[in-house]
Amino acid sequence: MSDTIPPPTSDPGPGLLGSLRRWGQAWDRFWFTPASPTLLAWIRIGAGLIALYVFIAFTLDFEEFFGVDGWLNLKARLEHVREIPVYAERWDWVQPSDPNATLQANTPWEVQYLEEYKREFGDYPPLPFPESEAEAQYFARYRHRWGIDPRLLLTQGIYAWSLWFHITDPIAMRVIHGVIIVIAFLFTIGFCTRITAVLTWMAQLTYIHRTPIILFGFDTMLLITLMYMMIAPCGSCYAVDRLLRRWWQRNGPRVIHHWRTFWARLGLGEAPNAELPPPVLTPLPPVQPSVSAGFTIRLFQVHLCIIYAAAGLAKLKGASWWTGIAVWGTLANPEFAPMYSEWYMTFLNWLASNRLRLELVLTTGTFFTLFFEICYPFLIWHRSTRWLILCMAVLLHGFIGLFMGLKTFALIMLVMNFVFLPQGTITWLEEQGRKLRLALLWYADGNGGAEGREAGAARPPTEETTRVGHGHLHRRS
Amino acid sequence: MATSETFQQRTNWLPGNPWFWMLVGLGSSGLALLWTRILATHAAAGRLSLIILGLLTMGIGLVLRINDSCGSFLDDLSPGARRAAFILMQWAGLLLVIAALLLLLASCCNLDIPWRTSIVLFITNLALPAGVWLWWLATFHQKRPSRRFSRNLESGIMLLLAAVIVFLSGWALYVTYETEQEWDTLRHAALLFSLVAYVGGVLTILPQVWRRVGVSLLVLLHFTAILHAVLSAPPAVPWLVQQNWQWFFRPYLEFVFLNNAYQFYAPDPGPSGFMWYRVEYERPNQEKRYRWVKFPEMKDNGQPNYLLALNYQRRVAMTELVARYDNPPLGDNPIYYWRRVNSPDPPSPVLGKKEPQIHLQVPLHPEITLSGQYEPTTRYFRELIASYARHVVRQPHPEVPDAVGKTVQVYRVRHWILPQIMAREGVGPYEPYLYRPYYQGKFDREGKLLDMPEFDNDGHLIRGDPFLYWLLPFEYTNPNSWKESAIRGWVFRHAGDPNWVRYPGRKFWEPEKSGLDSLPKWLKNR
Repeated sequence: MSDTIPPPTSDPGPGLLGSLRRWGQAWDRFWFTPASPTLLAWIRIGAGLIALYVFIAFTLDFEEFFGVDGWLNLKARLEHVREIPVYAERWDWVQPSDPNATLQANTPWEVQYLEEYKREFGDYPPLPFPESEAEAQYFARYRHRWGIDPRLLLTQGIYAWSLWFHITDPIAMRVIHGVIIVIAFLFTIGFCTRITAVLTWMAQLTYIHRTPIILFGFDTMLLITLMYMMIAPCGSCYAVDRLLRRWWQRNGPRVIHHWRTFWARLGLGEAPNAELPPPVLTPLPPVQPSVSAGFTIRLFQVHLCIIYAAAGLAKLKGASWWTGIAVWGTLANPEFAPMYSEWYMTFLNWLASNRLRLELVLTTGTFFTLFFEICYPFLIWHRSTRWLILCMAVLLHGFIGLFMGLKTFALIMLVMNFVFLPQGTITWLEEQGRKLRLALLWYADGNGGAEGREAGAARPPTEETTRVGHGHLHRRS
Repeated sequence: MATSETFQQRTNWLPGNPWFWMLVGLGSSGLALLWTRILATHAAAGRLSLIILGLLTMGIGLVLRINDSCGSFLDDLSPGARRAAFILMQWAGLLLVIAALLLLLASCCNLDIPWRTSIVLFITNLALPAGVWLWWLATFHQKRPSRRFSRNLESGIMLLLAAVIVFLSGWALYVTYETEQEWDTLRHAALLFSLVAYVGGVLTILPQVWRRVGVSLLVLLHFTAILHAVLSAPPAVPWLVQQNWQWFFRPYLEFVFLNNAYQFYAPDPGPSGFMWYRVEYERPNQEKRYRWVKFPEMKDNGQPNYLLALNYQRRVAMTELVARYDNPPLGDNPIYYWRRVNSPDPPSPVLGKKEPQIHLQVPLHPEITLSGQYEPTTRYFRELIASYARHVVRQPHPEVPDAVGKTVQVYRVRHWILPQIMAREGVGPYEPYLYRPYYQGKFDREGKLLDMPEFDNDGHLIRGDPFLYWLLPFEYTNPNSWKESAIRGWVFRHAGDPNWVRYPGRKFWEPEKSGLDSLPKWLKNR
């Protein structure tokens, strides 16, 4: 994707209509400009590796987390999913317990029901009357269970779904879990990416919905990444799919020829009349920018901005963020910081021994975090400040990973921040990767053998490059 | 780019044709539905296999179509085959209309189908125009054989077909009303995925400008929903946001789990915690055994005792989740009275009132107000704690295989962050003073709470434990010098553990020794 939004292609005209057209063109250019899918492929690999690690980690605690009698037992979880009250206030000023809104008891049974309900719960029941004794008992049981009468509810239950709600046999669960790990691996290497991306996302959701008690911020970020990977053409490059496409382009006609010959021998088709075609040796066309890649990158970028803005602004509710000591709450939290380590405690004691030093470090860290998170959505879009913000992201998430033990969270956030890498940097990194590959081929092949020549390097690559502009590279032969 | 020779081969090669896979998918899911209607719950493995086959082949068909950048596969058919394909499409459109109407009729007649009438009406409103449009499109192209069938149209129709396949697959998971809860969440998920495929199909069919308008609207809806999730975090939520979230955005946000407010370490970074469980086991010979289970498990030096850091962090998330409580009651509540009764400084007996029976005299924390020491866990999280307790009590004893867990006492422990001034003094983070345990109750093997306190109309405790949800502090006998102080762990005392005192210079908790001069008089006399 271009670092800047391309200029409009036609004059939108004057007046209100012209302004609307201008807005429409700008919107169209922001969301629907084609971009290279290379970045998305890198994100796919990063997110795929992390998802693979997560699923493998689940193996160690599988029964504890997802079993029928796990930490959140299946019965309790299903009760929450199916019955938990969802209450929405009325759209007027009438309260449900308002005596004017209560019902008029017309029969002796209804009068008795009113009195019994008041005795049991301390207030009158809401509308309508139960139609039977069984329904009355259901209302009372629900209120005892959940603390609210079901007649006051918008609905019951939540929109959660999971394979583990319905598959409870331990062996079947393990087998499916193994299949999920294989799917995550295939997604990482880019095999059948369109299918494995969807399946990996569904797998992550299946674990999340079954046992939400084990989740923390990292799982949310991973899920967001996997969700956008579903619509991204992230298997277009750096993927087994591309290797398969190249293989199919070369060998597809031969495969089809063999296929037809096979069925013809069984008498189930006509034999091919042409002889076995030779392999097609034309190279695959280079990966083209696509609108879907650009669209996905924009989705990612906007979502990331919302995340940082929400995180930063929410912190302003806390006094410790204003007084500049909030970072101490992470540095000295024994469950996160490595306080079991002698050198770390020595460092903390040293830091705390001088008040000025301590306050300087804490205040700097606190306001650095606030500045970074609150200003991220504004400064990340500008070319002149993007690298500053990206470096700050590396610093902040590096700190979180090293000093708070949240390495997976730090990793996924860094992977998500890839989405703001300028196109020039991506091109430069690809170029360096190509040079490295050429050099490795050249040295591995004994300095200029067949493979080195095929790769186009009769000598070690010494191409000169000149940096032109901001992040753009110009090759000088 | 494919050559014309490749075109010819693509057309004639069945496995390379996405229509082949889509029709196999449709057949498979339809067969699965028929299987369910005829065989009900018998041979469920066969039914599930057909469903999985249907979804996989549908996926293959869609991928083949999306990854092919050339024209439609229908245009590559011979004229006769093309005409037959359009006739088939006409019939498909008609069948869709008829099926939708029959479904609506079945719902109105209260026949056994898995959806409410409102949902069926919604499905019918989507299926009817789709069927009519499909019939019209097929008729239009049949009469104009020279008109190209665009790639986008073909992709859109395949997505609509995918919606039908997923819908049928979901329906095939439903047997009868009596077994309605079997596979219910997956059925609902299938319905929603079917809707997604339908919307995708409609967008694909639209001309580019309208497609972009449609996608833009979806983007706006998506981020509006996310912003509602962000603004819905308590304590202060705008009424409008709350209503929108409840009425409109909740299904989407919950389904895809985007309901996070991203309020990391907000408003302030707070302390983490543990769950301590004291499990009572019983052997066949009636012998009782007890064991403390501390969760998450830590080594003696405070390092997490897990192979992977991620597994440790998940356990920390579990304990932090249940550390939420309601505001303590205001005013003159019996629980405050009974807490003061069960302290070293009980209130004076009231003339004419029955003298309260003392349960255990636990001192109040010297630095926290009375109401601040009472943290009644929120109802939903009490249920989680009950589930945790149920899991723990059912675990086998690691050293005595024939011991069966009977009950468990649960304590939620908040581990306070080391204050800066204490860090300066060289105090370690694992000093007992920094731990604040709150009693969460005694549970049986089913997770039922056994000691909820009950009071009569006079505020007299009838049954239960008066310390439920109260802080059980670590008491330092010499607050001026911690190193020389004995520490009384009232949490251990409350649990019935004889090892509840740590003497100066000692590492472990021991039984209380007699003749300790540093103990207050009232303790010496107990």
